[in-house]
Amino acid sequence: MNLAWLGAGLAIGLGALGAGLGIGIAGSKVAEATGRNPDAANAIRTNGIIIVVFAESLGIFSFVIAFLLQGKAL
Amino acid sequence: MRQVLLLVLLLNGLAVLGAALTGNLPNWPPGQADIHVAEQAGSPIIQLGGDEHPSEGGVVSIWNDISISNSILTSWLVMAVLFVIGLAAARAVTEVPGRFQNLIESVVQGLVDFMRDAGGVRVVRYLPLFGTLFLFGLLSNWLSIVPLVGQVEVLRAPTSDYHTNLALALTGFVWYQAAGVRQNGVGYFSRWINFTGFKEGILVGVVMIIVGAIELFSEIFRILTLTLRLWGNIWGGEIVLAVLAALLFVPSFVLPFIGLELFIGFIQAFVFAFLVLLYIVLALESHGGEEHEGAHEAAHAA
Repeated sequence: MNLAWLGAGLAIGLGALGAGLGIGIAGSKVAEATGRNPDAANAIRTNGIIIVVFAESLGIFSFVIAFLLQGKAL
Repeated sequence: MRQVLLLVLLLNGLAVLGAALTGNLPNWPPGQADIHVAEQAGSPIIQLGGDEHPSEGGVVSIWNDISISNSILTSWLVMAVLFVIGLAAARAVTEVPGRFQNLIESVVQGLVDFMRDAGGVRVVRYLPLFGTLFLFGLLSNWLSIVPLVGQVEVLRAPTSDYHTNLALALTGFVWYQAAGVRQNGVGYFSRWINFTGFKEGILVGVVMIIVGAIELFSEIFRILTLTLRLWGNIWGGEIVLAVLAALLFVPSFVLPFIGLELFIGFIQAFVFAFLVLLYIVLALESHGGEEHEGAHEAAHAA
């Protein structure tokens, strides 16, 4: 029984929760904007990807933390 | 299309059958020992100096470990490839572009167009930095899914070692600070240390000083996030591929995830270069700054 594993699981779980929420909101808005103005679809898609990457990188940080914690013994 | 799919399935079946006949089937479900997770950083292949095992204690300094690691070797390979391509493109410039020159020209033109859209004509002079970060990052990211890279001792994708990413981030950092100082002179430092708020009252002045301190800290976090974003994506991608390869049993079921890694590698190289460009734009505009609230918001989100 190792509490660091619990911490690793919590880190990746909560981190992915937040990143997923953020990406979901951004993606829904991108779809909405594209529907409203299909001519600007290319610009909206580029900006959308850039914004989504910011949210996604937070999830990646939690993944890194989880992996670093996994090797720790308490 | 169908024939290709059938051929792939047939090859997979043959591979599994051959492994079963020779008694080499992997364990399923895989245990921890069956999943070969990549190390966090590259390992030295030529030790030039310093302690043999700096990770086992002692003061961590640059003198502890002077070595040529496998990621340095691979990044030299990437540099050599880029250098040769650039030399070949620059040698044979003709009036009527051939196929190769067309490709190179469209790449450079695309980069310049993107820079002009992002920051106006005056940032096009930073094309060498932007283009190099993008192309180097792209090639290194895509190297991480090439077979043998990351699996044999002497090869490792440069960007899956955080030292390379830190070096790239520091290069971008120095470059955009220099751009800001060059554009705005001493006034550039007023983004961190700003006493002009005291003209409008004590409270406004104190708030301005706190805002400046937050700006100063965000400079450090820019380096940190640039490094960790690229490293986490590429290193994490390698781990995902390793875990899925152990979990899915049939070799080519991993192919869709390799496509995903191709996409992520492109996006991350692009985002890295784009963020450095954005920081350059912000540094150029730093004096006053109120008229560019939107751009500041975008930078803080990073």
